[in-house]
Amino acid sequence: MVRDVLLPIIIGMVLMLILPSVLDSYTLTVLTAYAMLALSLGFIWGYAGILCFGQAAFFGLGAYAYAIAAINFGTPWGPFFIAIIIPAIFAAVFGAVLFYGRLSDVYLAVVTLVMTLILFKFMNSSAGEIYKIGKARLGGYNGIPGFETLSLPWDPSEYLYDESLFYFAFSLLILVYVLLRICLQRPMGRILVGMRENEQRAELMGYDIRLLKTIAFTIGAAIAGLAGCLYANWAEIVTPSLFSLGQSAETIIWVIVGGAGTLTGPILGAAVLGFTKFLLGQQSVIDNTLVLGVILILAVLLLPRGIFPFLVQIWQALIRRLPSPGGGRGRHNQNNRKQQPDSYHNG
Amino acid sequence: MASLVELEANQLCMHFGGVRALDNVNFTLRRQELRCLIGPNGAGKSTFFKCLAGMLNPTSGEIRIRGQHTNGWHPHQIARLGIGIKTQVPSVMNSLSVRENLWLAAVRGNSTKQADNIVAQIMDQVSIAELSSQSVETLAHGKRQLVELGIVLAGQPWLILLDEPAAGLTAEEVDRMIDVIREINRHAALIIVEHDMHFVRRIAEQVTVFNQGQVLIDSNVDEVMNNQAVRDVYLGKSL
Ligand SMILES: Nc1ncnc2c1ncn2[C@@H]1O[C@H](COP(=O)(O)OP(=O)(O)O)[C@@H](O)[C@H]1O
Ligand SMILES: [Mg+2]
Repeated sequence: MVRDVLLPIIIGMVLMLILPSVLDSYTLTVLTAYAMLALSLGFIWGYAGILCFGQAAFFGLGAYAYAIAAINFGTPWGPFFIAIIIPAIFAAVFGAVLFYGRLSDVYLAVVTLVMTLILFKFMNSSAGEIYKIGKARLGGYNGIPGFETLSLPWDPSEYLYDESLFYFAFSLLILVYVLLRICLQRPMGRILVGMRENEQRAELMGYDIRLLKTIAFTIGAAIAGLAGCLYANWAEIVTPSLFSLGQSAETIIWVIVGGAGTLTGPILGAAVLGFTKFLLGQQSVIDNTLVLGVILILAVLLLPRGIFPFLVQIWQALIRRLPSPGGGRGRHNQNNRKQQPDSYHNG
Repeated sequence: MASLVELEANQLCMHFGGVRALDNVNFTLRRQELRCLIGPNGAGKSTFFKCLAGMLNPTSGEIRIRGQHTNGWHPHQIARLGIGIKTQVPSVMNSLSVRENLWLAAVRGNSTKQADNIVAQIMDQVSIAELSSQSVETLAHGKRQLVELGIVLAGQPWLILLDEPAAGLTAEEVDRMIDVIREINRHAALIIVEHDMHFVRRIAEQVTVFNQGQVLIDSNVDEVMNNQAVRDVYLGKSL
């Protein structure tokens, strides 16, 4: 309980207070939204074994759902929840079709990728007057600007922006992280990991893996939708590029580089690579995608399990070297070794 | 009550293209019976198991388990009826610990506390308690077989299918396996596929012989071992 809930909360709060003095909160907020998106994929891929090539679709759906609802309602908090629910419903229906249809892993990747492409194409070609949802025009290539952004529920004139938006986004990141950690400690989460390890055995144990996968996929989409909502509030405009293939691919790279099979890794990957991209965006000497590609290749070659598991290894090696009083050292060693498979899955 | 039929296969066929892996198999199993299934390689024994467990959908014929027609059911539905299977190729959750493997099987339909108790009891029964925290992928084949047996038992089934449970075991482990099988049989029915005749002789009363997808003979162990047709099928092997 301490390791899974209190520790992440404390570390998260400390980070939340320190970070704004290191980086500007505008950059921090978008990195937090990216981290949330990476976390969503890290969960469904790393724990439930569902490789979705279209996680950006849910990100984009969340952002658009927020923008469209905000324009129609004129208030931000209803749309905030709609931004989570719409992608979740979409994923539940879409996921049920895929998983109950017993689509194999490769097809799943292809189908989710195609889904992203279709949404991207559609949003891009929605410039005409007829593409309206209520009062909101989809706006095609130009997207939707000028919607109401989040404000304090008790004081609608007090908008969440800059630092306050960052604190809000980062608190949500901590919250979602802790909820996922708790889920992974509970039977449901442990069964998901078992299913990832051996689908056939999970079925022979009596688990309906079609249902489990649909649930995991839906949870992932809800989190991605939340990330999209945060992004929309940060950018104050939503455009079809949210659905782009590039965004989906980048998310996968964040997870791989950070460490698939952990929760902290994807967050770290998104933060590090997102920041790198931001720095690269300020110059035009080297091509952005090229650098990301090189980082991916280097990471896969040098740190095949990802940055975070590597850091954990270093940390454990350091602890082992520390002399501990009362001859407790040997025991400590053993515990460390024994716990390794667990800490890998629960990070 | 002891003669109650709990599992029935009628005219069961399973064809793979032109291969008739099962060809009109009729089979019945009574409550708490222990049945051995023997037959040469490719006779259709594993295919028969997979049809019973829902891993394969039979081409034709019917399967009845405790009165229910289970044709076309998914493996998880059949598992929920109370049937556990140890497949020929060990099917375990590799990177997870032995304990976690058993626990995942035990927690379905039970509270976490009940699951903890079931796991502790079964690890004792199968003698794998000292492997508890090791990840399954690090274990030797024989130990993995025991772990898989543990997984099956943790689901608390009343019918257990074991496909070549003694393969790759040391003599000591075989003894343990036989003890466990006898113990299980006090509460559950078993069908056991095994090649090792020595093993079969030690546990079996009733034996069914498969050959080329068909049931060759279905009788008590002595009769089967002395049957000329069975000897012909096993040409060159001593029974
Ligand atoms: N999935 C499959 N596809 C095609 N042929 C199969 C398949 N499974 C089994 N067979 C064939 O069915 C026959 C019976 O196989 P099997 O049931 O594994 O035999 P046994 O377990 O008695 O050794 C063999 O000829 C085998 O090649
Ligand atoms: Mg076989």
